Amino acid sequence: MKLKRLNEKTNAFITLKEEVEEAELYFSIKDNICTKDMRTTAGSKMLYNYHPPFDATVVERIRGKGEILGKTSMDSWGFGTFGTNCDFGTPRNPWDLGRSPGGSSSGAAIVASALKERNVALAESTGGSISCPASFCNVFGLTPTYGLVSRWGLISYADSLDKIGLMARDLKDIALVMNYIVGGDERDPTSYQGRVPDYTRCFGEIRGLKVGVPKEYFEHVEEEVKEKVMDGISLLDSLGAEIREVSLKLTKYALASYYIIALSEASTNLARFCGLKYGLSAEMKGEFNEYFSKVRGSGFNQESKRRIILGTFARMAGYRGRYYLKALKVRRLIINEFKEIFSRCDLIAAPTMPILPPKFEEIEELEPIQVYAMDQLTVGPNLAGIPMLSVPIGFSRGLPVGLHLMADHFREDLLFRVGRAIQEHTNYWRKVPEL
Amino acid sequence: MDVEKVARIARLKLSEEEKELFSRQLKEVLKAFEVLDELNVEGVEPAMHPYEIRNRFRKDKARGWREIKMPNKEGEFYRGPRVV
Amino acid sequence: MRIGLEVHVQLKTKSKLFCNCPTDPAEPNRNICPICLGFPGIRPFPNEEAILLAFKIAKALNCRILERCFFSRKSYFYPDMPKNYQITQYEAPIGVDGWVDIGKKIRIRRVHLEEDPARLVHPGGIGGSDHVLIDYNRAGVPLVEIVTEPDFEDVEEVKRFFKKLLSILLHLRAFDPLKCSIRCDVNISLGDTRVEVKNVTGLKHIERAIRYEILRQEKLLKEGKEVKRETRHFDEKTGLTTSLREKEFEDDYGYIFDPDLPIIEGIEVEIPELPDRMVERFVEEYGLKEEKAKAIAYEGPDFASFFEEVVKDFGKPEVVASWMLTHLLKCLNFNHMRLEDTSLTPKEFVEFLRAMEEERISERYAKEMIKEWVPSGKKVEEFLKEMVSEEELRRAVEEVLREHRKAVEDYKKGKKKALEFLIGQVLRRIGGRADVKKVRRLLEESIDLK
Repeated sequence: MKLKRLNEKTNAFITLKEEVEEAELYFSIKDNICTKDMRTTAGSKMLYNYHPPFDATVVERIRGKGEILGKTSMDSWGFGTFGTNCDFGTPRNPWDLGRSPGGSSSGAAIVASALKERNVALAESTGGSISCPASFCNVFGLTPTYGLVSRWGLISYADSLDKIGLMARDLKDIALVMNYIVGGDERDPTSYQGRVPDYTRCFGEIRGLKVGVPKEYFEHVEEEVKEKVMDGISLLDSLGAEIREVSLKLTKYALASYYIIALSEASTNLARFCGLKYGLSAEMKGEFNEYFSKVRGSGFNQESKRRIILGTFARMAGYRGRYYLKALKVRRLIINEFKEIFSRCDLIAAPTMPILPPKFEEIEELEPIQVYAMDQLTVGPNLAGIPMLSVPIGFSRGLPVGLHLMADHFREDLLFRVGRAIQEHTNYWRKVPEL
Repeated sequence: MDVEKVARIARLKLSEEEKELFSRQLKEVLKAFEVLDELNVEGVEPAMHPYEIRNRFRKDKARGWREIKMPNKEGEFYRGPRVV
Repeated sequence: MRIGLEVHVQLKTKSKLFCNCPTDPAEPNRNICPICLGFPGIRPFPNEEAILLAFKIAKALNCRILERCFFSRKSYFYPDMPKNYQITQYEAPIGVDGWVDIGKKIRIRRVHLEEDPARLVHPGGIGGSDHVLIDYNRAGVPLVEIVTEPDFEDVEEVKRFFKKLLSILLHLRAFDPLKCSIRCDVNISLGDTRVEVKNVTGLKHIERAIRYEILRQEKLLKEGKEVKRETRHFDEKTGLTTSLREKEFEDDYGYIFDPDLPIIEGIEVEIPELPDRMVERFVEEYGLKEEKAKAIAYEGPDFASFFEEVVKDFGKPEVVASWMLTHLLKCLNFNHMRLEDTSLTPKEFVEFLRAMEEERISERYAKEMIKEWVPSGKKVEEFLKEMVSEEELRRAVEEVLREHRKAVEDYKKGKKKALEFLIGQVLRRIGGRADVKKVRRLLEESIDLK
């Protein structure tokens, strides 16, 4: 297993385990998920040497089920769509090292696609951080329903939006590991207490399933991406699914609603990092405001600072009604809109990302608002907390394209069923990049 | 947005370049957020979670935690920066 | 003059509001865990008992209970804030628009639940050191915040309010005066401007702070000077309020709903008989004077039910009330104990009172005995059985009369001292374990019979 070489070429890991034992199944863990035996940085200099005093629940549940390889690279705190905000080296797309692997679960997608051995990557999504890199790296990426997987031990970005999920080449492996990690946790009051199915048994006929295709999700999408996605939808059609055009009119409002809510919550979550108790610290002289500002000024990278400022502003007295509270109400409308579609359709299908994986030079030219706009297709379902699966659906110019399937709350079974059907009828998922 | 003021509230020390850069960039972002002004949300309940999460409580039982390592220990206390 | 209060009451629960850490007094930094320390990746989990107590308090203060309430994050930076935000309730508290009757109605604006910050120690006083010391034991302890309208017109009304509030909290079992603290922010305006004195701990200091602040404002106004609208700090050592420095770094609380926590909806609570009703009932049922009834009721539910249990068996409510309010209460206070902390039972107290009634022990002995008995944890029999039985006493009397015939003769001749001698002899024989009055009477009776 050429892990060190993989890591050197792609920066997939922030922390790679020294001695790796042979196993039937390997795991990699996104570095915002706490591991007691490995440092956990959330991709930020602020936690460059942080050793959590406990394991995340998901880590507890996979220990003994396979060999853990290490902690994968990510945009710090989850703030990013391209992996370019990682404080420990920029992760690179294994299909083209000059391009982005997607973000913020960048390393997870790289390992899932480029490591030849059978492996499942634990990842996390707030606004699309599983779907995007999965799509850019040609792997399956499952974002479960909000609350289905315990968040105990997940370093928060935005608590009403964060979800732990999985990436792998083979959807069957994702189903297997889902069985390990889902289900109520007495340490997380937002975790789902109900019964969960056996995900390995979710496959079969997709004939008669109604698939809604929202026209708004095809606007502002590159032609090459559209083409491959339409091929995928045609495949579903040929397998007997009923394809219908639907309209998600509120799509254009999802981006603003998402960023306002996510950053308002994130700015409170990151307030605790101030040079006390854990994380980066400095010489403790001066009054506390000076000390906090100094540590936070040096521990947070530029994107983090930008987002903290935006999030602080959106909930400030005088602005809170117009931004924060409004965004929450728009969220309600967006959720209702999805629910309405699901009363008529079993699934929604669309492109995962509007573009192919971009070059790093192209990313550097983008203004923040243009970068944020890249999330336009994933923020809607993430706001609604519905489960989604990005499926490898083809290559364009040698670069992977993902098809995004979405289902109603707790209907991961439908995602597995359709995903397995596509897996059975395509071969894209089998490809492994040469490094 | 007064970036300097918000940065102080958030206890973020910014360089002069950062203040200028963010002023410009965040102005653009806020402009994009203005799209929400188009929507009438009268009578709409804010959505705190994707679905209702209600009344999850824990029994009142006392249980200790094993020792926690934190820096700046001084005797039995932890040292912090002065407040005046 | 208008005074308004923001009262913070620490609740009597076994564990903290969002984690299982104990709330008992302990050495610094013993009752801590990653949750109340705000470590990355933790999730707060609300304490059911704290929530129920908060609802009971709101109901007992006659508030309108909100159908749905939730928690909010209040952001501000300070070394005593583990997360640099406090979990509290902003838009949706537990109860609103209540009142407390202290002869006049004091309106309650709101009642809500929040977590306590950590405790800071300033080595060398607040201005005098280059660092602070932090004790996280207190961080995360549940607090109920009770905000009044500025309906108070003088310090006496404030005192009456706290007395009433305390008794209500005791009856709800929401508060342990030995373990929990009450802190208060006081808003006082003599004229047009409102001055806030923040964070005064304990009823004694709250009274002192108000008295000083009234004097300070009166003096300024008399001199024709302006009272500045500001926040002040109360110094416990000097009894003065002082101005807090102008803040260079402001805080905007930036409230958001706390998405880590559930919505609270449809909670129904039952509250027990409250002190006012109890006082009425005691006056009616037991014929007690209102003062005594109040004193018993305000001591707490265990004290009051103890009283009722004793009276049920022994009767004589006046006697029981007297003994409980003077000697028993004195003992408890001296030992810093509450009645429920002792092993005393109503049954034993009845035996105690009966022993006095039947003159097996003297009142003087009883007053001494109770001082030992209350903190000892021993049963009342252990103290009473030391007292001599009727039979043993008669035998001792007979023996003494037989052995000291001369003294008997002397007494019959009118020598009073002889009786004292005989009493002494009896007491010596039984090791002093009898009521002197009773010995005297028995001797007199026995001698008369002969």
